[in-house]
Amino acid sequence: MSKLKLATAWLDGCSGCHMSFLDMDERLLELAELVDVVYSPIVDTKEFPDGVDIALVEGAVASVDDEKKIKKIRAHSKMLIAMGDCAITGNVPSMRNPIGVEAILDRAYIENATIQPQIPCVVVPKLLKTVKPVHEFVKVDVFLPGCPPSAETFHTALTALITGEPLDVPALTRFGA
Amino acid sequence: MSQTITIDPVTRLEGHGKITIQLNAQGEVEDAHFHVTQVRGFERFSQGRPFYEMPALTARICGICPVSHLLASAKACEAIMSVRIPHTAAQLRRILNLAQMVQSHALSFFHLSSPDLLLGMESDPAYGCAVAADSEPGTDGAIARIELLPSVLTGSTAGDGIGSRAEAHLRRCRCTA
Repeated sequence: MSKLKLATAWLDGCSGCHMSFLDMDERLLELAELVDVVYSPIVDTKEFPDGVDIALVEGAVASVDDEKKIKKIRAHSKMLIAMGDCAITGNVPSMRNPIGVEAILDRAYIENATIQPQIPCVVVPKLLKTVKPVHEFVKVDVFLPGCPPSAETFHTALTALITGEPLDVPALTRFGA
Repeated sequence: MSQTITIDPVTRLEGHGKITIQLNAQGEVEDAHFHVTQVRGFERFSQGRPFYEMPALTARICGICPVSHLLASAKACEAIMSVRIPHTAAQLRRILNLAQMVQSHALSFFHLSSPDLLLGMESDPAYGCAVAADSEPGTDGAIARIELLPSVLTGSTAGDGIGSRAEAHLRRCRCTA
């Protein structure tokens, strides 16, 4: 059997889910026997490749770049996993929604700035008016809650998805776990 | 003619970023910018929230260094309540913080820096990762790479430096293809 292609991506999150993924430690060796990691923040590939079997996505959709990325990921992946609470509910990033983009940028880049107060507008992506979870934009196949999901959760869930065994998510993890 | 080189995204970095390098008509570097492509607005949405939420909330600023944020906000909470924690608690916090540093250095070395040290800057980006795709189809490149990492730390592999180890490693991957 040829190896499956695994991709991981982060949108608007804290990288904590990726850290928890890496906390699988020596079990990453086991995983490397079953899958090739073809795209990830820890891989140098810049473009999301074609024909990805499993894509793990951390974080909510908060900017025009995030929206483009998640649509590209969906178009090139057979299975999309919303990894962690930000991807599933918007969680912490969505706490800005009732406040509005202008107010948060103003506080961060003008009010709190000690030198050169200015709102970045070149090269950086435009923020969406509201932060939304991944499934608001594309179809999600598996929801894996947790803030972050534990390494044990990743190991059990990925092993099940790769081998085609049944996966009981509520038995593994929950929101805020 | 002037030219701009864009590195997007910057991979194997603890965070979200882009780099642009501006070249002048002679092809010399005239300017360079690092662009932080993510903003969530903790500075604003934390305002007016219960102070006791802050350690858990600010830990989500960064999943790679959550302990620093957690401890800083715990100290702020103590200042608000005008209390001092016992000596033992302060020592436990110190252990927590040092453990975080050990973890962060391990992450930085094994997953972010070591692919460059092991494989060299010129290696194919698709394989520039501790758990990335095999070096050549049909080999155990990813696994060999992880297994080689500890020996780089301890210097126990034959050869006289990281460069020669990486070369030997690449040769081995190619031979078994």
